[in-house]
Amino acid sequence: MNENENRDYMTENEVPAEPSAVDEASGNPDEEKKAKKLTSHGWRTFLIIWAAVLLAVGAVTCIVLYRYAAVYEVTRPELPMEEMLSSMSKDEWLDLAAPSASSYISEFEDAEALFRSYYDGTLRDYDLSFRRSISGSDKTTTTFVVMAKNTNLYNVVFKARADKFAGFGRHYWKLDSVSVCDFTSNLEHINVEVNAPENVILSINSVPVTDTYYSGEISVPGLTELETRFVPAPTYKCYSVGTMYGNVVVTDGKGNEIHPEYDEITNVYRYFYIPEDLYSIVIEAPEDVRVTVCGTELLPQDVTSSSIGIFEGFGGYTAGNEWKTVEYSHSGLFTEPVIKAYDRSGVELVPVITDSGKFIFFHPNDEQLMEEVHDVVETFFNRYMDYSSSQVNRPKIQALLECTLFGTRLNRYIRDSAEGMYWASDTQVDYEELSFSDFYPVGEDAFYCTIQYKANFTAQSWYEKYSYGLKNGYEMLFVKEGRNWYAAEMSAFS
Amino acid sequence: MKNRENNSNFLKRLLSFLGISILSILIVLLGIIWVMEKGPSPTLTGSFTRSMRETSAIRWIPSIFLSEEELSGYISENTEQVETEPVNASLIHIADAATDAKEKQQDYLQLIDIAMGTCKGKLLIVRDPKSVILGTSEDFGMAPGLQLTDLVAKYDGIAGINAGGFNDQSGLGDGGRPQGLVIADCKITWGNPDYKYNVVGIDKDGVLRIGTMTGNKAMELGIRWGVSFVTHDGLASALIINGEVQSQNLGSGVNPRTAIGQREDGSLLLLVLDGRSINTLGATMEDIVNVMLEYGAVNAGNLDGGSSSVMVYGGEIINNCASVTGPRRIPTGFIVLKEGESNE
Repeated sequence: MNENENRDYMTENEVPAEPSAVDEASGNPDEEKKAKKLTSHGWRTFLIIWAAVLLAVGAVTCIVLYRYAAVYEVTRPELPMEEMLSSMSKDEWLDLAAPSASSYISEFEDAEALFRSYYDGTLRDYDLSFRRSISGSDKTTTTFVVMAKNTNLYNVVFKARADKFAGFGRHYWKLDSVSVCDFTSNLEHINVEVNAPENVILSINSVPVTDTYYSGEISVPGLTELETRFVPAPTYKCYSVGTMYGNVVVTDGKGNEIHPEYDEITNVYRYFYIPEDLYSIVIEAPEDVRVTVCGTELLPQDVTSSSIGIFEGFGGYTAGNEWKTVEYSHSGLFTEPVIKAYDRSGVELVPVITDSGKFIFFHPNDEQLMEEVHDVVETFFNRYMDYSSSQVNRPKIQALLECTLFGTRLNRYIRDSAEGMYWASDTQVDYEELSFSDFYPVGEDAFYCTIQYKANFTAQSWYEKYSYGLKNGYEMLFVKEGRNWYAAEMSAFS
Repeated sequence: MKNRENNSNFLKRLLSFLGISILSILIVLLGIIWVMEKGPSPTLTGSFTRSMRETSAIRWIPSIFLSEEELSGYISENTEQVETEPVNASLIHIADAATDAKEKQQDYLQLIDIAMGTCKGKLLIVRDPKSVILGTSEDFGMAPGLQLTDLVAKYDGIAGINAGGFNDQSGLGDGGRPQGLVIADCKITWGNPDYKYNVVGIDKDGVLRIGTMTGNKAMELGIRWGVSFVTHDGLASALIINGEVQSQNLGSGVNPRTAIGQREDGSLLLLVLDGRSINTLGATMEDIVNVMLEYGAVNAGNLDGGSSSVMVYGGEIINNCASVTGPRRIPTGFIVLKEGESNE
């Protein structure tokens, strides 16, 4: 290659004749010397040109490299980052980034305040530095992580400027965003779950918990054993709010604060809505009556008290046919109780509901018995009311006592109370309701019934006159002595 | 006679051609070096200077145009003997690897491609730190080292990276003579127990231990597998300790790098970043720290870099080894055993 180049060079510049003019075979020493001289000169020229070319290429390379170095220096994304870091105060950084803290914190907390508190409490005293984020950087995006005490604080994103190229495929950079890094792992935190009935909305830090957080149904805790047997058992809607970092105040619709239960196993703080007024039941019924609450039959173990009641002392008449009256008294129920009772044949019984909400069930009314003894009961009651609402009157007392079984507590009570009835003189009674019902035989010589009334009384004593209303009910036990029925015991139930 | 003369002429011309060419290239190279050292980019100057100084054969280059004073501006202080805070082992919570991996559905090994600007490499996350041992070549000081592929095969490992430094005067070392300290299976197999070294090791519990300490101290700490490394400029190997970046050790240029780190959950991070190629120039110590922090390292240490940087996985070298003569022989490498073959 070089030789060819030399030959071309000689041909063009020095030797107009044929190359054969320097043919060694010619034997002319001068010619030969001349040819050698010419060849040597050409070679030197070539070397000079070659060196010049190399140096020229080198010079261009250096110039290009120099220019690249200049471009490189001004297009380093670190440059604007360094400028930002040196020109902005810590508070300016905080103001710029803190609003973005909400991306790590639920709507129930003030994310910005949490971040500021975290920063002020642990990192403010440390200088800021930065490092380039690997995952957040590519050809057109450079993300820096600003740190304090080697803790990630802010993500600073620079984007390549599409409108201004620096050359050499390099970009100038412009600030795109500043946001806080995930700081939540450095905070004390708890997991929060709130639970409430379908129609109750709870709030966390005054922000209502919506169905966005609904995660399923959960059994109401603290149910009474009785309620756990209800079908279906009551449940709450469960809202899994997740991790929270600051103060957590859960309130119901009325602003009442709810206190949590901590579950160590799942590390969750559970807040359960507790109704202000939990339900309670007080049910009284003959022990052979089947009582249900929300469809669940009450069992002997649910009985809270029992007594033989007005049959006490009358075994000679009832001859073992008397029954115990049992009471079911339970409170703290989350479910509104639906109370029903059935007699042995499955007939639903109608309760008497007292002013205090007590449910009283009786045996079903024996129509035939009622027909037979209704007058006896009515007579007794009329005399009783006549006695109790009139001025003390020996004949009236005597008439009433004649209806009662001598020697009984009732008989003694009426007799002894006569002295105390002076104030009830001339009381006028106007019945709104009056019923004789729940007749039920207790063997051959006794029967049970109830008397219920609602009446307005107008009392007139020697020194005053006033009116009042009464709603009252009595359990009655009548026994047969000879051929006659006598009131043996009487007990008010309302 | 004429032929001899012709031959002589040809030789002269060849020599003159080569001489001129080499001279021109040298001039051009000097020009390039001048641009790098005296050009408009202090960043490039710093990076170039530190990179050259880290390579034993060419560490004199920065002195061509830079005065001693200028040069000192780019050279970090020697931190070889600087005491660092000891690694707090209580920050590392190593769960049972099998259970934990199952729970978190993590792989025993995770191989990740790293790309960060002009720096590229591989990161191997090893879930169970006790599955990493130190592989060593035979007869330190007497026999040459082994290539990492052979070292991994020797221990029937699945992966590995080069570890400690070695005597490599003018780049001609055979990899058989370790630099500093070597601890293999709780025994000091190279180095003086009373000397201080920049140790990077793994203790009996699988905790990565990094710091300046004597061999005896390393034994006291229960280091089971350990090496030491320090750069030519005397930068200690500690990069991150207890979550704190050891900024005093970061003043480096771009070069191929090897490093090891550990996350809070005990996972070991084996990192190799390539360099000295058109594809990737290399990485600084800061780049290593960035990668380690990004992947959650609380402790990390630098290992031997340059043309020694190599990662083997599945019996093959998976990074671009910077050595022009092929993978180098090395005395030590951290070897990842196959799953279920813990070193206990």
